Amino acid sequence: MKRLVSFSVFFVFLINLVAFSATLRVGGVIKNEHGAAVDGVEVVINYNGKTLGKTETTTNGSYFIEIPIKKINPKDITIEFKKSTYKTIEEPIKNILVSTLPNGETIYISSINETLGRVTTPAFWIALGVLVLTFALISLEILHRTVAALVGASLLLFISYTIGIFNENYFVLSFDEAVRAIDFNVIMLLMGMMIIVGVMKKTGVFQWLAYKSYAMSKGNVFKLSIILMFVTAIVSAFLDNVTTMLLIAPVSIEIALMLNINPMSLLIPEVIASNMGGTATLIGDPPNIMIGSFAHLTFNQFLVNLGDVILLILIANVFVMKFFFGKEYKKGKVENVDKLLEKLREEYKITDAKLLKYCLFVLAFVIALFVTHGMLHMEPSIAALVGAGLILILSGVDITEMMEKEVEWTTLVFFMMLFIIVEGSVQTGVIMMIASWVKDLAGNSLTLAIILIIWVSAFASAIIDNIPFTATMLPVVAYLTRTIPDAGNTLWWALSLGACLGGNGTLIGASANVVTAGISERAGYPITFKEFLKVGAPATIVSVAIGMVWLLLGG
Amino acid sequence: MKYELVLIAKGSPNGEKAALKAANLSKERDINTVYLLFVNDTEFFKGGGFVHLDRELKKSLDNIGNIIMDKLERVIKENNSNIEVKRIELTGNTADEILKFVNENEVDTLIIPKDERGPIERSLTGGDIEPFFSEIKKKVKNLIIVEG
Repeated sequence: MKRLVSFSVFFVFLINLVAFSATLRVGGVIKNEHGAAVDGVEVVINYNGKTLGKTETTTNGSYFIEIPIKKINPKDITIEFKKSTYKTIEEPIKNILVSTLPNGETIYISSINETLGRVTTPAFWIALGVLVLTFALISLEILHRTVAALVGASLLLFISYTIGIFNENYFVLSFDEAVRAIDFNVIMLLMGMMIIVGVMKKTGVFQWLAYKSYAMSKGNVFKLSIILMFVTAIVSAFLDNVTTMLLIAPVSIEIALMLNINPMSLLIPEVIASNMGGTATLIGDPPNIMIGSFAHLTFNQFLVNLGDVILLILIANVFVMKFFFGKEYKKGKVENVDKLLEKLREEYKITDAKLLKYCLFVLAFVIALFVTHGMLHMEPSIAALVGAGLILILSGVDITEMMEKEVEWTTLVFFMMLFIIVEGSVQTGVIMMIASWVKDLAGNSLTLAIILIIWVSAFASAIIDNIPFTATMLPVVAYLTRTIPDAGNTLWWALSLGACLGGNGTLIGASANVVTAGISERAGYPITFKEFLKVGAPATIVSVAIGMVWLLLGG
Repeated sequence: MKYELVLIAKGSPNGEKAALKAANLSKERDINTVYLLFVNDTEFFKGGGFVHLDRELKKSLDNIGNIIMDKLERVIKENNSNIEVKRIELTGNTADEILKFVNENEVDTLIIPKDERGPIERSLTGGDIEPFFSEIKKKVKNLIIVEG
């Protein structure tokens, strides 16, 4: 009897083993109409309305599913791909390869790659609405830009996890997608540089540079303006433009007042040079930091491809400034140059020489890391963080004070929220729609694409904040770079030149312009929108035209 | 405290015109002291880069303020050599500080130079005291606005 039971158990086990000894393995890659991988696509294997198994595509759009099948002809099984904002596809599994393993197990293998078409759902309109509303709130300064971005990002997630749960057509993006969208390379790079600058400004070196510019000009105002433009451009290539102008502009006003000239004649060339200098490097301007991180471009690539053209643009703008302020420069006179020099030397001296030595050492080290980060396969943010850590140790400053006062958390939060808002537009197809428009206009012509990107970016940056604009354009330019033959990195340079130089077009084009106008206003010389436009618009047209010709000639 | 003649210090050509007006007025009314009031206003930009530079900016604006007041003092003295010029330096929002000053003190004549600015500049760079003119007028006996 005992033997009979054992035999029966073994027989049932064997039957089951044979019955389950067939496995279906299906894998593939899911892309959208632009050839970009689509993650989070639900892949479901169905048989007679019954779900046999499911999985999701990964960040590179791939999926793999393995299910045991019993007494089923694999040809009767269907596979379904679904994701909100995309058209659902359900199809039979074709091209099945059959193989039998040595243990008798049968394996059915198939590879199914699909291209999902977009469908315009309410989520598309929600994402588009939030994107446009955020742009408007930031540009018109109705809300602080961080508040505007935070409200936008939270609104997208709130709608997704309330209405979107009941009706997936309202689902914009998941929390995971939102978190993944935040480019921490950008955030860490900004934070690291903020700490380095925070310590460095304690030495008084930036104001000292402005005083030295005056000393070098020996009282010649035009020469002073040229030196100040180049000093500002070089400083801005490594520091953010707002900080540069906040430190250098007051010294320039003081010099201008003592020379009896309108401070505007020094300030406008300076701020224009500041926006130009920031364009030359990966770390000089936020749009470049974002472009570099998104497109995996190195510090050297920026310097090599944009450094020379920026130098050319800067030289051309010296003449533009002479055209507008030449008369004012001739008016400048100071009765006693030595006395003024002595006064400036007293006011703007290096306040902590030892700290400055440490800072210069760390800055040189960080720049060396930036130069080599491509070879080391190291993200540039790591270089900035290493520098920040070193400078904190060497300077011995209070870390709490540094974190509270020197790191601009509002700016960092602004960036994080902005990445989420743009991801909402990516997920729902808004960005794809914009990219398709640009592609339709440019066709396969690289020339047309360069002209389109550089001028549209410049025009847009002159009237709206160039940070959200660049964030929106990143996936668009990535698509164009992928599809236009021989594009290489040219379109990224077009975006950088347009977005950064466009800020010079109007008073509201860049934060550095607003800051400079504010300081000038305090001295009793308000820079009006019209006055800035009179100089800024021609300077921008000249700069962008040079940049465009440079790129068309092959850079 | 009682002030007979207060001039808001501004570096623009209108600021110089206002200084000239103060010099002439002091001669006419036989006033022997003109008070130059400069507001060190750093509250004009809340965006990136500003927070951590508040201290540096205040120091720089102090220097600018001194130069503006030197210049205006020269203009006043060139036109009335017998006058004494005293300086008052305040820190904070321009409109708030001027209002606070006229509320806390007895000001007989206040001269304010006014430069033309559009709504964009006002909203961007602040320092806007025009909406407060009526309030200031209530507090001082004579308000003189010097425009271009």
